[in-house]
Amino acid sequence: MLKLLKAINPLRILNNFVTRLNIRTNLIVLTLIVLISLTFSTYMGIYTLNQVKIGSSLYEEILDLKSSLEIVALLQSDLNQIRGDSLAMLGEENPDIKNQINENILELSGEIDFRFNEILQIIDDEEMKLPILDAQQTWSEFINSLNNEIIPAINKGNASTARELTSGIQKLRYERFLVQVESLVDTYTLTIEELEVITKDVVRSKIITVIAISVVMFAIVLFIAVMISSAIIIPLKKTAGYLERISDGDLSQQLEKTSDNEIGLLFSSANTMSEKLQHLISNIRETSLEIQTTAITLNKSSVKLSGGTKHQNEMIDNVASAFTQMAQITSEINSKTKDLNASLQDSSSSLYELTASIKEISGFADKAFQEVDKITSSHLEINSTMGNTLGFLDKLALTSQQASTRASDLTTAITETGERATESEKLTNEVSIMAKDNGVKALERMINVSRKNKDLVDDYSKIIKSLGSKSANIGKILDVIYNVVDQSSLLSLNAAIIAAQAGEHGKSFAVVADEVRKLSNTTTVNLKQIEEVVQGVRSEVEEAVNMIDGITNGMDSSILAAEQANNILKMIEDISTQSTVMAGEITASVKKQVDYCNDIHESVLNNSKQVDQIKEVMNEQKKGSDLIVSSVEEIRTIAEQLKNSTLEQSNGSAIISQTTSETQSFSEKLVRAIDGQQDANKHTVESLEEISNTTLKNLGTLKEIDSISKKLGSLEQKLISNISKFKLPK
Amino acid sequence: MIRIIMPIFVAAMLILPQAVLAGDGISYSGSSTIGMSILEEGAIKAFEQKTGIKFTSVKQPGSGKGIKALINGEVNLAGASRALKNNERKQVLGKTIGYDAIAVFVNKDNPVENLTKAQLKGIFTGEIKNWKEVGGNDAPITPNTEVLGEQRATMLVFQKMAMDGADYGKGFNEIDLPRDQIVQLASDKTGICSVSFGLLAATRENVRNKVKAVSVNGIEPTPKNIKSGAYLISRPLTLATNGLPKGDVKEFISFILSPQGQKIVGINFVPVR
Repeated sequence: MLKLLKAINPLRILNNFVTRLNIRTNLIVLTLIVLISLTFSTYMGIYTLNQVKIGSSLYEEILDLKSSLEIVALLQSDLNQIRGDSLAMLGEENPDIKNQINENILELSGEIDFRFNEILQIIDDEEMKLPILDAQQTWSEFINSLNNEIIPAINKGNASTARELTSGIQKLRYERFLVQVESLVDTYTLTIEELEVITKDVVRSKIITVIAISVVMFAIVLFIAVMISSAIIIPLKKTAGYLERISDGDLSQQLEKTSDNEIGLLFSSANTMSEKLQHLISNIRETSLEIQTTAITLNKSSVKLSGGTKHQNEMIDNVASAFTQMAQITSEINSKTKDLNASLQDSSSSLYELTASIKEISGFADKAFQEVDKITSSHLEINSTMGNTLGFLDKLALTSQQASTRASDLTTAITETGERATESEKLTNEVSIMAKDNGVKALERMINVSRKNKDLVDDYSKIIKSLGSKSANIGKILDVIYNVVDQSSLLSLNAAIIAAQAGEHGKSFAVVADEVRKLSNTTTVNLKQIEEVVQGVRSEVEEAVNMIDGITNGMDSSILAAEQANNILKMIEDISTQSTVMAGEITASVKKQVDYCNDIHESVLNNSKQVDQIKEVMNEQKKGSDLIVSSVEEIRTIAEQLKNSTLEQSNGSAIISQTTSETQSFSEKLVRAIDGQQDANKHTVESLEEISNTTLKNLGTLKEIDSISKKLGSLEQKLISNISKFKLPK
Repeated sequence: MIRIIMPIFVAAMLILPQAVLAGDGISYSGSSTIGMSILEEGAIKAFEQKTGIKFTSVKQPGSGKGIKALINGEVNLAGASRALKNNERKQVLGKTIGYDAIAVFVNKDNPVENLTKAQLKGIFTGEIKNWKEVGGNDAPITPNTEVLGEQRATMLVFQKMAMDGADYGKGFNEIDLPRDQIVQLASDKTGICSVSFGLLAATRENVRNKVKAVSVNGIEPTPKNIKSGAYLISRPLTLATNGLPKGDVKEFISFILSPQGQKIVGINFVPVR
């Protein structure tokens, strides 16, 4: 039995069975077991009741036995009565009484026969019938003997024979009858006792059985209930622990699935969740690392760009201060020209007062020459300032080039990002489009701007070259002025002679003539100085031309380099277009980078615009210079007219007066021209300030970029450290 | 499902009390009449062949001692060649399996047909010595008995029932086996013996033809008379059990009351059936 139990191992089988079944099925099985127990108990109860109750099999059996015993007792009693009657008959003399006794015996014998039939019908058992049949046989011998021997003997008066028979053979038969029935009586008495004991035992054993089975069933139900509950609770606890480990970041483990029931489904879901988390976290980790690298590159680029922009800003500041200086000088010119104008007005009034006094004309001419001299020196200064400006523009161009290089570096950084983004098709496409739309186009714009700048520089070069030629013309004009001054000096000599001849009236004129002569002398000295300055201007202009040529060449090579960069960028774009997969998070960062690059490009574009504005300003300066030149030419004409007037002498004062007033009007024109120039200078300074502001703004933007990239870096560090808390399966 | 329920029932079977009584065979003690002439005559053998149940012991110390042994629990079956006494009936249950009669045999040539109880008492106490005293020829009566002083059951019953307890006379022919007593009568014309009626059937035909049983008190020893007790020296053969017969003993009682068993009883006795 034990071996069989071990072989079957019912506990293990039961445990497997319970664990594999659905919880609902388990509960149904449990309910079924309880139902079976209940049915069994009920059946046992009904069975016991049916056995014990009145009318039950045991009860009927006992009843039959008891009635059998009753019949046997009655038989004995009847037989006793017959014996008594027969004995009474022996001693009876009265024939009536004898007959009565005889009738009584007949009645009793009929009763006994009836009782034998009754008891034989009641008794089923063949064995038990045997003694009754023997007793019946004995009875029949007894009654035969009585009827056929004893009673006839009595009737014949043969009392002794009758007595002998009665006390002899009939007594033996009677005793035998008793022996024969007593076996049945004993058996039935014992049987009844036994049946009663059996009834008691049946009730007791059935109750014990029911209790035992109920206890066993309860134990089984309890056991299965515990098993079912542990089949639910243990996996739930396991799942809770598993989820706790996941919440601590441990994704390296999986729940082992043991069944397909609800618990199995729970395990599968938890495992799927863990797998998805693993996938997500490894993606984030890869992306973070790439973003980190990008952020570092971006930071480096922005630091470089910041340095370049600072440098640019310094250059612009230098240009601005140069322009401020130029403005001061121009303003000085302006005030001096105004002074000239005022002098011319004064001389005009004197001429009108002194009726075209040559002396005053001479003085005015002298003054005019002085002013011209001053103008010339001012122009010299303008030219040198312009030379400086050119130098600064040169540096500006260089800065622009550097900015372009920075932008190129930035584009390279973006391209590097693009290269890293090769894993992501989608993102690479976006990067490619960005490189195409922003990088290449920006670079192309840059190249265009640089070309325009080059054109501007070319224009500027032309302007400066024409300035050189104009300066040479000034030299020629100076030669004419020299002649005029010489003539004026001669005229004043002549005038002095005429004044001496005029006597008293000529005295004042003689003073004028003397003054004119002095002015002529001074003018000559000044003119020589102007000539030297003009010579200097020309050599400076030539130098400037050479420098501009150098700039032009540099610009050409920068454009070439930019075009090459553009080609490379296009190649990069092509390569990056072929790449495939990249995480979505990089897109955002690259977009930001692109935005920043756009900002930088816009700044560079702004720079270009500023350079354009400078060009415009320079154009205006050129116009101013043109006016100056034309004014100087007109001054030459005036000087010619002055010379003519002094040559003509007779027309002297009128012509001088006219000339003076014309000179005045030209001087006014000159004042206006210089005013214009001043305005232009102001604009230039304002523009430069704007450039400076923009550059400062750029610096601010760069700082912002720097801080953002640093923030990005720190966020990445945080992200990576957070991700590294997750434990992934190897 | 069966895998669950089976162990439950196996466990339940283990818990339930065992109602099966182990068969431990039958041990007999009591009457030698039953022991020798029924049990050893073929009943034991036939019963064993039929049921496989064995008699572990058959002791024949006499009816009274057998019943005592039964009451003491030394045996589970006792045999008595008489009806149970009332005090015995209170403790054991008796079952009549047949009837025995002690017949009085004489040589066939002997003219005596009937003997009264008093005549029988006179002959066997040695007081009546000649057949002519009981209506026969003038010839000395030569009774034969079993071995005297060995308390043979038949002799004791006869002593009690026919001789009113008086002692047997002396100088009788003592023959060990009762059957041989009948055989001896075939050649002894003046002989007389009182042996079990059934033994007649066990003798050879030539013996049977030379002997006869006389009636006692005018009653012949027919089965009918033996059963009803009308024949003086008759007695029921009783098997006694302690309470209602159970197990092997019950099997044996059923067997001996069956036609097959009764046939064996009928060899020497009057069967109940």
